[in-house]
Amino acid sequence: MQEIRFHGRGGQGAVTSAEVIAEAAIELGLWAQSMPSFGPERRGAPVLAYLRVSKEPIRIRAEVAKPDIVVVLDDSLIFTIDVASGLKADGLLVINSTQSEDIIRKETGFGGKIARIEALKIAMECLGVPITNTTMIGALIKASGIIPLEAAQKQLSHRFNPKLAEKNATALKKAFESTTIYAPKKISAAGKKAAAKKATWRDILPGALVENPGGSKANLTGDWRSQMPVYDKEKCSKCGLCYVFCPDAAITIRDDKYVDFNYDYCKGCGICAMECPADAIAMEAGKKKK
Amino acid sequence: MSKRIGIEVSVAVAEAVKLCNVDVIAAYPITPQTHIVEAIADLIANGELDAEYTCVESEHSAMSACLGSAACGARTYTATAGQGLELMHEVVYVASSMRLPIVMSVANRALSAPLSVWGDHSDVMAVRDTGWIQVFCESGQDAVDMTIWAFKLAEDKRVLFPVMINLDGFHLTHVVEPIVMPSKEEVDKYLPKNSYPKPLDPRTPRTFGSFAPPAIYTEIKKSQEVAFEGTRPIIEESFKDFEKHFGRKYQAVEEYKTEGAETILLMMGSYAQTASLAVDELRAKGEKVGLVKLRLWRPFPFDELRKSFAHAKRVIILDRSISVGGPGGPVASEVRAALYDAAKRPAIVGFIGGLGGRDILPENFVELIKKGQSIAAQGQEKFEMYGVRE
Amino acid sequence: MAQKYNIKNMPREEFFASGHRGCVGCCLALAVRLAAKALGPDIIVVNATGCLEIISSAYPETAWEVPWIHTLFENTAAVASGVEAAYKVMKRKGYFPADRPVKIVAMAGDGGTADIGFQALSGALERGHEFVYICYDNEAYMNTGVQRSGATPYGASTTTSPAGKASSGQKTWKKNMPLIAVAHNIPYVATANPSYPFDLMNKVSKAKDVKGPAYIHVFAGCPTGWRSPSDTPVELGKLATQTGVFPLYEVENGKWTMKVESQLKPVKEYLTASQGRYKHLSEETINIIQDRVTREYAELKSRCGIV
Repeated sequence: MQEIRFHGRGGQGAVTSAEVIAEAAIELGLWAQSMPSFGPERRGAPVLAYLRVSKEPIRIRAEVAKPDIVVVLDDSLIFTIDVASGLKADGLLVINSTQSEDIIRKETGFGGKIARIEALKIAMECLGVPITNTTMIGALIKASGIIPLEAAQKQLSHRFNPKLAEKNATALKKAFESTTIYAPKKISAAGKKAAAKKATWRDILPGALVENPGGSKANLTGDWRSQMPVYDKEKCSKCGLCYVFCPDAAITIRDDKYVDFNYDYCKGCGICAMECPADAIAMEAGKKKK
Repeated sequence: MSKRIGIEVSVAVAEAVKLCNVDVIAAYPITPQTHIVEAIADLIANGELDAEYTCVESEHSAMSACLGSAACGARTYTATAGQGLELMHEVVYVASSMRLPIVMSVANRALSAPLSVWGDHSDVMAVRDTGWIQVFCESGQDAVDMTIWAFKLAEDKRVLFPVMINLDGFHLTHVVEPIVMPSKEEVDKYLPKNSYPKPLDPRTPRTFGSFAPPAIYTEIKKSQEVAFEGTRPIIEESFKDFEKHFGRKYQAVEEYKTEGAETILLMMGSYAQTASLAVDELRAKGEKVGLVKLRLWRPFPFDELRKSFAHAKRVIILDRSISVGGPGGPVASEVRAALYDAAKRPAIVGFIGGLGGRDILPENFVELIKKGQSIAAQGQEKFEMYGVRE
Repeated sequence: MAQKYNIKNMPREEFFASGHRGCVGCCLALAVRLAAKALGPDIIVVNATGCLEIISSAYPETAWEVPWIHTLFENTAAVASGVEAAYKVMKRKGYFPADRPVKIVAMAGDGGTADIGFQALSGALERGHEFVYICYDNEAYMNTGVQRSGATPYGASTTTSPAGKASSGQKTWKKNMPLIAVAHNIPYVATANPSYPFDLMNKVSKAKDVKGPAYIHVFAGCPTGWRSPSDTPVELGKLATQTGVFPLYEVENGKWTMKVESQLKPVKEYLTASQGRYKHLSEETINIIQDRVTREYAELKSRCGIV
């Protein structure tokens, strides 16, 4: 049995990836199981999906804790989450990333086989939207051979209308062809993220009360971004509307009436850019401040 | 000074609520609880009790308003019965999980269908696992005393759990009988002001009622369970404390003529008084029969019961509700669980009776005991419905 | 005194903190952020189960800088009743400083208000508790995955009113909650829309001063549920008001006033403006909606004494 864990963000299609492969495997006469993480995650928030493919009936009904393969749809996750948690040393990490092998290894602390794909670029080229799920399936198949490429393509035609299925099939194939494989490499364990200490029942206040007003600020939602506001101070008319309309309170007005963007929390919705009467804010793809 | 008066039990409970200087009452009228809430409304209308009485539009809202009130640190009371308790079911859980010291009287009533406003214990059995401290009353005096006791226990900072006082619909609620009403001074001396440790207060913003992902829900439930288990010694202590102040003794498990008893009849609530007459009659005939009255239903007094039954040969249990398709009555089922590990286990025979207000007379109890003894003698441990026309 | 807000005087302090888990472009979060500014620190928020509760309270990270309680879905107004009663009596008895203002604010979504929480709300309005009830209306059960509610507009495709070969989406008309609130004869009812942020804050501020219940029905754009790009909800909110789909009005002690659009835009502009939920609408359906909106807008104007 191959156990796979997908890391993505709400809206990127991690669940669809797992489902497509499961359905393809089942159609091939194999046993498979796909399962979303049952969470309250919103569009942009980190999400998980699980997949098992086996020649035998699958009886485990739980999240994948010790995966053979981890698929990361969004490489910003490697900076905040231990995506390689439980990943077998001889396992495989498939990642959508423009980062170097060294950075990926450093951030994930993973020394095993890595398959890297610039999925966002392919998705934009083939689909015109930043949804990387089918692209990632191509990379996963290339690196693991978990199912034949044709089986996945067939599923796409079940799932999407002919036009969309064709676009996705193109993305899938292109990804299959442009995946880079990195052989296992000995690395120092320094990059491994320390597991956060988990609260025990003794840490719970009566009634599970929370006494930390505004404690959500520990949750840096800035890494949900797929696009970011870029501010042109020269054009700014100092009206402050971007500050007013930010759903995440991620814009502050300075004493001189210009504004600052707090990229720790900005989710990149683009409302500020849309509402700016002076065109002083532009949305650019990507997460990082230049 | 305490005063012995003839008073309807519901009115006396309302007086007890007044003596406790309750801040907020949120209730919805339902037979047979109505006399309690009407009497409270009277006390407020006459200026005898300074409280907010929120006449909500349903029991669901009654308990919900109680959550809000108790979370602010106000002393909070409600009363309900039967269907009303079922309608507020999900809210009843929340009161315990959020550790809100609400006191609720339940005028025990049967459940529909068919509609019955009359008494049995079906209503409270449906909420037995909600994490409330639950006691049963045998008399009007119990009902008054338990009300006063409940506030002190619930608000104890080591406890902070809601308390449910069960009093049989009609057989208690609507009966005029002699009750010793404590004086205001006595209650004031006994019951300190509610000082809920971490209330909803703009001066110290707190978040109540977060949602818990799988990574923490189990820990939160464990903390609740440990705290609830931790109330056992405090409950024992609180009964002693009550006795010290008022001279009336209460226990988790109360015994009547159990010395040397080979057959013990067990039940909860007011029918135990009638049953004691049957015990007297059989004792007079030299039969070794005793009665155990279960006052504390949650947390279930496993150890105390094992002690009470240490020398009994057979235990006959009257349940006033039925677990349809289950092992009989919930009380019998719990007692069986309590005694499973006992080195010497008595035979346990369950009866279900007194449903929907059906009376059980002293001679019926004699018959029930005899029947129980004969079933036990046949080596059977089954349950039967008692008093049903075949 | 009720405030008149503008960019200069709007409080810079945030009471609904960053790091909440609202979707990208969530206008419910925006509406709550603005309302919280107008409400200030001396409040207690009572929240229904739903998007707002979920995005703001993942244990142990709370987005609330003010006291906040969530218990269940349908009982928000009832819990608020209890909180209000508690503070009333605690002040009267001297357990809490009598001169310190504490405003009770209930918040619930359209499902928690128009559907499952309807009875508790009606009860609380009828009893006259002094509280502000804010319904954030994103027009479906967004928290559970976009199922239709009683406040879902006619024609909108949701996961339980899907458009298909045999259906053009939601078959019923949006329940008029503000009008139902008005029918309770409460002192203050208003509709608001975060696309008009200062108007929203002014109304919340006014509601805060009301002696008795105040009900504010807030339009809350939802890119996820409406299948819109994340930068559009504020624009969609403006269009909803400009087309008369979501008119802005107040009813103060029975007196109706409104912000009249001098020239209503056709509803088609709103319905076809990047909202996936309306993508399937035929001209015929759009015309049906237009007729209804035109009629309701005229009724509203007439209530406001505008001929």
